[in-house]
Amino acid sequence: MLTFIARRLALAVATVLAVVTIAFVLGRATGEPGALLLPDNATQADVEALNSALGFDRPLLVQYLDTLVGLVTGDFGDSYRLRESALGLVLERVPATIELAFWAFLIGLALALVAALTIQLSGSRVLRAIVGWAGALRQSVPDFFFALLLVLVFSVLLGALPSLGRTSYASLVLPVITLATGQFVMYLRLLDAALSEQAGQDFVRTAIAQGQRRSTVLFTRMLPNAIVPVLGMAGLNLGGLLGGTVVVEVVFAWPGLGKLLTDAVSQRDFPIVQAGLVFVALAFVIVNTAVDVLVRRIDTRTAAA
Amino acid sequence: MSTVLSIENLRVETDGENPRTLVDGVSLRVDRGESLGVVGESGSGKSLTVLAALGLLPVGTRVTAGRIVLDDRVLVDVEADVWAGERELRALRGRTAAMVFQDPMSSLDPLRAVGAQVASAVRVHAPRLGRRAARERAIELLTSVGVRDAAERAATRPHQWSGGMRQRAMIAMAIAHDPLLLIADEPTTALDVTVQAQVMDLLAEVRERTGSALVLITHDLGLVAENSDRLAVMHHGRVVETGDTRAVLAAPTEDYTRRLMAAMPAEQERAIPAVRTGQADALIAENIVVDYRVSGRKTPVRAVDGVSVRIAAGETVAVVGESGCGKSSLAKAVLGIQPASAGTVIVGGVPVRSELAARTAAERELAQIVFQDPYSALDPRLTVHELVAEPLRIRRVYDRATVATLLADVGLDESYAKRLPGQLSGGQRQRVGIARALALRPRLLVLDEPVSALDVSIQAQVLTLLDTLQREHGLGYLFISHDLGVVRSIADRVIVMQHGRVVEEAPTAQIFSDPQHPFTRQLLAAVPRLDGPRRTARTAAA
Amino acid sequence: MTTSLTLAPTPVVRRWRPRPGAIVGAVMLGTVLLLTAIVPLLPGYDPMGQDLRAALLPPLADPAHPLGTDALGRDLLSRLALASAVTLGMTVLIVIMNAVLGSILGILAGYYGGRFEAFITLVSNVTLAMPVVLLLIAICAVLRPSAGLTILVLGCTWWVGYARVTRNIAATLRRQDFVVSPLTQGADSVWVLTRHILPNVWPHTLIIAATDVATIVLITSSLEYLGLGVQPPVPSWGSMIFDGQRHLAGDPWLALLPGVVMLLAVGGVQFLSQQFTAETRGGLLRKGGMR
Repeated sequence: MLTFIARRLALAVATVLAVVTIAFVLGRATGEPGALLLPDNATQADVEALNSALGFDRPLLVQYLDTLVGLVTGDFGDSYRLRESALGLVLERVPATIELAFWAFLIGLALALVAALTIQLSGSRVLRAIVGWAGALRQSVPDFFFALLLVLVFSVLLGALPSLGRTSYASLVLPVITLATGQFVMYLRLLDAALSEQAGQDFVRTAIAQGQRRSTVLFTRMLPNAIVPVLGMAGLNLGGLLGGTVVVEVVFAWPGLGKLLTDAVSQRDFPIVQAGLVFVALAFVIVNTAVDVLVRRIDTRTAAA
Repeated sequence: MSTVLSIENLRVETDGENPRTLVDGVSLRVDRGESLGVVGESGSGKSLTVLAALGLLPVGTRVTAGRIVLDDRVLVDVEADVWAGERELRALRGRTAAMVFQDPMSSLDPLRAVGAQVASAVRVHAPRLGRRAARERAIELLTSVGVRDAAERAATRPHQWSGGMRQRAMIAMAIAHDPLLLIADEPTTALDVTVQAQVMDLLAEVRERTGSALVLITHDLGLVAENSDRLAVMHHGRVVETGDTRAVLAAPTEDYTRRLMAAMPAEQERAIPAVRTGQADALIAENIVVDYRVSGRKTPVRAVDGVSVRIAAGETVAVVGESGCGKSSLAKAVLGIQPASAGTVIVGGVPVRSELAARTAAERELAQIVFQDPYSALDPRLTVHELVAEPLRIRRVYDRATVATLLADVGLDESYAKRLPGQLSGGQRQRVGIARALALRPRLLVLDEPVSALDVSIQAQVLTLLDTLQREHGLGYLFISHDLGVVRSIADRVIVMQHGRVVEEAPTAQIFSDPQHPFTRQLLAAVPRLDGPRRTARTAAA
Repeated sequence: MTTSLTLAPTPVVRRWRPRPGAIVGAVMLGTVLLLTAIVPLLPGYDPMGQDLRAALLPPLADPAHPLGTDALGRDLLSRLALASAVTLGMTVLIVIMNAVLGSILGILAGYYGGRFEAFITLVSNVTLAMPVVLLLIAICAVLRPSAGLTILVLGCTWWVGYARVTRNIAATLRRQDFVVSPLTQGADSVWVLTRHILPNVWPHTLIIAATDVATIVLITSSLEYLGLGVQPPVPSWGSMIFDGQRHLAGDPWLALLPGVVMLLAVGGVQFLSQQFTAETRGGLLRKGGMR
């Protein structure tokens, strides 16, 4: 178990390093900030002065090492535009994004669980087909288009819910529905496949042959065995959820991390992009490592094999 | 004597528009306390019949005719349109009739402690029993089926138990409520023979205690002979013969029963040896050592520990042992698939390197293999002709006529050439595998459990074919098997392996008539035989 | 993530027995393909021509613009056809690049094992552990967005799924008796790889590719929606929806029409690919009664 955790941590460090490196390369690939940030009529001297003030005149290796040191100390430099700590700006926006992602994940997973269990308990192929078709349709449109449909119906036609900003609980509804439906469909598919696989297992037949209730078998035998692989997938799907959040935040002008990052990208405000990417990567890696260790703990077979 | 289970004219069909009949007109009766053996080959419908009795038919199949009565309760009467509901069945399952399944690994929940699983089997029909009491009863049950340190082991999960121990836990669950009827579906097929004997002893012993009747479903006539009062032989979904076990086996009236009995491993050694003198030995392997690296462990696991084998041209040497004894690793080392870390291999007089990759194509030709599993041995996309042609194409000596001759040699005519493996039976696949192995005219054929995946009637045919081919080509056979019975009729010498070492080596007749090593004796005693002693609780205790 | 994948039986194309889903899917996808194929042949085809006097025409109002016009008076039908061709073309290219790259890496890693496999596993684990979509957005944004860049970036980074599956299958196949057998008869690795591994792997690759088409369309159009990808004036589904969003209250068809076309295309591919994959879905917990 300890060697497993050690190996997993090494992978986490490698991943974060990879993200930092990509972010660093991207930052340099755009060209020097002096030329990008200053107005066109700035003199060559002004440009060089700014470049050297931001440390861009040093050798690349030194800059890279400096970035790595910054990673450890939490110093990603200041935003070019706002002259504030980039990490501070990122952290400021984090709660809004977590709010979206958390509710979407929770609602999506909970509903998927209820639906998957209902399908198994009722044994209804019709129910499964209906849910399957609806799910396929939802997965056929990107989040931003589904969001527009919701806006069209609930904001434009019914005028019931706000379509922009983060002002009240009501403004949470549409973005969360957008993301949660996507999560719901994905987890329903995973859970249904996992439960269906369990339905054919010999130990399920054993329990039935002992006279256990179907519901007991479902909840105490099939569900624990089915949830383990789904749990493993949940960590990985977090990346997809975060990607979806970025787009949804843009659609609904939600003041979260995604909005900040896309704005920073278009303004070439590199410290923010770098801080944002590294922060997300860190969060993602931590969650994934925790999930992997948890799965390993639950399913000791993998440790024995 | 009252009847516990009676099945009358049962028919089981698949769902759908064109139903296939899997079980047809089967009638069986089990009386209180007696033991009924249901024998048949794979696909005979023996398992479906008893699964139907508890409403446990797999999805996609259903009862379409007949009547099933368990303990005076009519569960199904198709004519009278009586169908027991889930609630009624639940009350009977595990209490009136309990099941022991074939594969104890997959039949236990991998995520739950074994003790908890036994306890939940206890609590199903004793809901008022507290959790603690149920746990104590579970430990009691596990102890009663011979699980040592049951209190500690109960907290561990199935993957930490051995196969035999898991089957004991399955039996513990089955006898939790002293059922009137125990149904054991191939309960020992996944186990080594010595463990098989222990499990059958245990079943006899617990039945003595609980007075349960037993339905023993198996493909093994020997097992039925030693463990049942009455016998039903099934074939193609029908019962072809039924009656007192001893009487039927002494004087079978049906042709199929006779064929099954004839296919049992012979009780005598091969009469005429096929050994050819004056030719180089097919195999001289000396002091073979095979080590496996296991991730997470510093020292490699030693699977074969200094084994030497010498096989003359036309001679069959059988290597026998239980799973994990190193017999398959030895075979792989000879072929170079798993390189030996020490020792020398000389095939047909030619010394070869230990690693397959280091051997020239000409060296590789000398030793060929016939695999155990005829299903994974053949590429599912290639026709029979292409499968046999492949080695010839590799060596650029392909010739249509050669392939036809090879197929004819193994008893497959031209009509098979265009078929895919999926369209062949297990025995036919194994013939293709043999033809492919012979294509390059090897000196040594490694036979890795070549018949253990086949039904008994097919086993005999394949063994006869192997004998014929050996005489024709002067082949040396390295015959790997877990089953002493199978090797008796084909091997000239037998090597018994245990824990990676040879414990006994002797001519076949001597192994069977005068075994020296205690492990050999144990192996021999464990093989079920048609004339074996009837197993009772008393013999089990002895 | 531990990768314990048992080898699924190689899918064999059996008797063609279309399910209702497959027919619906074929019709949906066929509609979009017809649109992209036929519209450019029509006389009024002009996806770029602006006509501010005929801006924001609703559908069916003007026979010259059967689906209406956008804010710049460009013909929507023409633009939809071009956008479909562009997005579908990009998607197919990206999927093929990834399928080929991922399968080759996966097969080699699974077959040879050792350091190469360890390296590929590390790269795929790192990739899996990264918020890839977010990085794609950043990369595409920073490096001057264009259709070519999207194809290059997505085409070289989305192969992990293929590599993992094919690696597992190849590793399982390598130990199968029918792959060992030719080796014992003098065959070399090239023989085994081309005659036994590859033919048994590619049906699996095809199945992933079929489901991947949908994912790639959704990702590329999300990038396009964010303005990263195909650049104006060339239309794409994502950018058309973004443009239409501004007129959602008055002229919702501007955003709805490209969305519907996307739904038809992606949904069609999904329903079609289920024809192959749904077969493997297991059963339901059997009801407990006798009947």
